[in-house]
Amino acid sequence: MKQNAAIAGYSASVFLALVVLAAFWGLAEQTSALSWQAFNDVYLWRVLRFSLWQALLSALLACMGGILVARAWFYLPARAIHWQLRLANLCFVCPVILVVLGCVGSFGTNGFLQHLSPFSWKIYGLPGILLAHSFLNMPLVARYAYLQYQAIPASYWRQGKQLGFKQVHYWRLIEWPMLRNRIAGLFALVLLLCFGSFTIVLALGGGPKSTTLEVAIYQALRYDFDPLFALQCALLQLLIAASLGWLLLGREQQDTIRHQQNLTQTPVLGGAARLLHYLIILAYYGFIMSVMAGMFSPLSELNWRDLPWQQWLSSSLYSLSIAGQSVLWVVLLGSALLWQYASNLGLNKGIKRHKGQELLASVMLLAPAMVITTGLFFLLMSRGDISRYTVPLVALINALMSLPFYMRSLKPALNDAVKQYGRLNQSLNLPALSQLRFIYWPLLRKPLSVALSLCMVLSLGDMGVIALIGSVDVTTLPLLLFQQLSSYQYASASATGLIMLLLCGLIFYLLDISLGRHHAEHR
Amino acid sequence: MKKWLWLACCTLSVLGASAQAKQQLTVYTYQSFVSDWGPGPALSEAFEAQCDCTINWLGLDDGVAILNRLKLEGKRNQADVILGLDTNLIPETQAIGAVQDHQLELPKLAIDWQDQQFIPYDYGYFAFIYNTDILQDKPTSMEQLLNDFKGSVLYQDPRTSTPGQGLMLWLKALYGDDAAQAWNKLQQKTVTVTKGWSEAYGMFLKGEADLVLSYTTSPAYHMVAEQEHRYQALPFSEGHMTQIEVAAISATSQQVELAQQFLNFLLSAPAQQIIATSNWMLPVNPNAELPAAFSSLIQPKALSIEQNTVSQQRKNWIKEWRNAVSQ
Repeated sequence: MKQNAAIAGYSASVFLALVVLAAFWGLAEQTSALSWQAFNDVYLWRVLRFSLWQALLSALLACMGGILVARAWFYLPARAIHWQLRLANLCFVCPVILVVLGCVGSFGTNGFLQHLSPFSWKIYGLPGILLAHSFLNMPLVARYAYLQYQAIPASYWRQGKQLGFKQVHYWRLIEWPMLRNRIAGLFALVLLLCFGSFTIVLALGGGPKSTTLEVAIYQALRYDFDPLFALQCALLQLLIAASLGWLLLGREQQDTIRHQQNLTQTPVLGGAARLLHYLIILAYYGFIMSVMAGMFSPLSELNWRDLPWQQWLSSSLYSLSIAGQSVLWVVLLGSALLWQYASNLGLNKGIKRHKGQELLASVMLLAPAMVITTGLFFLLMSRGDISRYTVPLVALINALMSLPFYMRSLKPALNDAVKQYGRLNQSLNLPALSQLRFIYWPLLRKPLSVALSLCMVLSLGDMGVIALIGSVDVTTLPLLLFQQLSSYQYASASATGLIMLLLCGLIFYLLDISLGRHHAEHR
Repeated sequence: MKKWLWLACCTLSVLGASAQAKQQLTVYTYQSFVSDWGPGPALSEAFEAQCDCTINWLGLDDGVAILNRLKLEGKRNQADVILGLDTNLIPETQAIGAVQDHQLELPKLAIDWQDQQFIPYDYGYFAFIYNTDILQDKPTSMEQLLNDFKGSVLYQDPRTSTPGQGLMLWLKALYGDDAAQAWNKLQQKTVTVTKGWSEAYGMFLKGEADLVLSYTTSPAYHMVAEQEHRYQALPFSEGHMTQIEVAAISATSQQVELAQQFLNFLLSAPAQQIIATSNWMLPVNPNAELPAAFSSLIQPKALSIEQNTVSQQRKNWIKEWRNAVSQ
């Protein structure tokens, strides 16, 4: 049993390592001369500086905004908070290209906000990048921080009240110490995500001045055909992302069983503070809603008689088949890794080794997707007809990209389940299959359905990989949307976005009714 | 219900490619050439009437992107015809062995032409286009544009787009070693650098900038197709960079005869008329009839740089541009 789990886990890890190695092999084959001399390139360092700068700013914005919103949620009477949290989740999983569309449609030169306001501004470059990143990440941070607030024992607030705390004291003595560690990990994650952000920077960047490493890789290959420069960017990206990840991803505490508080108490606020919180919430929803409205405001100009049905059909089918294949990969690799993780949990060993595997599972956060794609592309290009592999290749890389999320969404639930029932299982000596069927499956089916939906939606909405490989005849929905966006067919782009959203919704719904139902309410 | 769902997912996952129909001629070109308003659809119709084939256009970002694509795909490209490079890219394309001799007897052309592999299909001069209703203080030279002009400019990326590359050569021809400073000055006025011509021109028409880099022939489109006289080209006293757009048969083509037939067709008067009035460039066939609007276009002094110099220096000049505008 233990052995099988170890074999499965290591096989998955080895497979992941092989893919990464193959990718780098492919790149290395292309470059004849990588020398220190080559790194003496002004542009390379400027690109690096901008990559870090925009990621840092984005992460700071997301975290500060997110914490402010979480505080407001917590201090104000919670109205439909459940739905608000759901919406926050939706923002984070929203396909990136849709966010770009939303930002252009609302904040862009022809967006409705510029029509309404007396000022005019440009969103290309850093402002646009920050806007889009904030939309994606701020709700994620807000949701997470709010859940942390919920976990603060009520006695703290009572004592604070007795001691006559003001807002400042609450923040300094209760809230910040509790948030500090938890947010650090999330800050790192957001930083990593923004550091490797491709679609947003490509679509909203606006020239060499605002280019990130990831986009520079793409440009080096598609614009100048300069494999050496691509390799340099890739190495830098890998170095920085991996060290960031190493420092920060491993810092999470081993989860104890999370218990829900049945009694939360919030400090009473004065009128001014309440007003401030209301304003924060208002600003937050103003921002979120305008981006969402921006996605579909151009629909009003759609010419209903002349719609690109053929393009929509073929790109939807491509997208779905890529998403389907990619989910199969994720289930295969992710489950193997999780199995090993679960069997090690009882033993309390292998934590160090596990960190390495965790890092490998998060390989796509660390190694830029562009690099892996490019490397595999080169590898296959010199050995066969690449266009035959487009779909499976994109599916595999998308699977690697969504693997970290799959692991992250299932780990806590698995952790709880093992901690609660592991001993019982051992004493009952149940066969493995029965354990899975009667104990773990009912507990895990709900998070599993969510995780799978997430992976599907991620690969359905991903544009980077397909943009780089993009063979002649394979156009997915996000790529189609990007093409429409760059040729200024806002109305068609909106309609394509709507189709994408409907498909994503359908995936969530279908997986929920097929996998996620009949679960016991378990937190 | 559940079983049905999984079945559906699995079938979707293993969807294969569809079967092939009659002879297909695959043409690599740039996006605006095959857009609904470009010459692609009309050329398809005219050519498919005289051959038993279908044209399969593949519209890439822009001209230079075609060359990048050929480098990336190497011998595995699927093109029969490569259409949309310009003369500045000929040496590089020949160096990677991407094209073969056309073996055609060319008719008398409007420009002097010797190349054995490429044929020209249209030509023009780069120019900045402005809206006469909006822009009052117009620069009359590149010097003025760089130094005194207060408005905003859109141009294309020289790494992907032939107009962008044209601007790079233009500045190089005028300023030589001081081109980096010229880029710096232009950067102050640049809204954004787009990948291809279509994006930049689309943005300009939406009013995102005062000037856009295009061709002296662009106003003809507005005059002929829209009866619109607002958009005009700025004549610059230093002269304008010339561009000759070319097509060739791909070295990997399995249908050389069909490709030759297509190139011959491109040079015929009907095809040249279609190209002139939908790609909005000057025809290379002197017999092509043009709308009256073409005679009202500005007649610039032509500038050019020897194509071998371009092919040797292009990478360095692009680096120069990249470093100047990323500051």
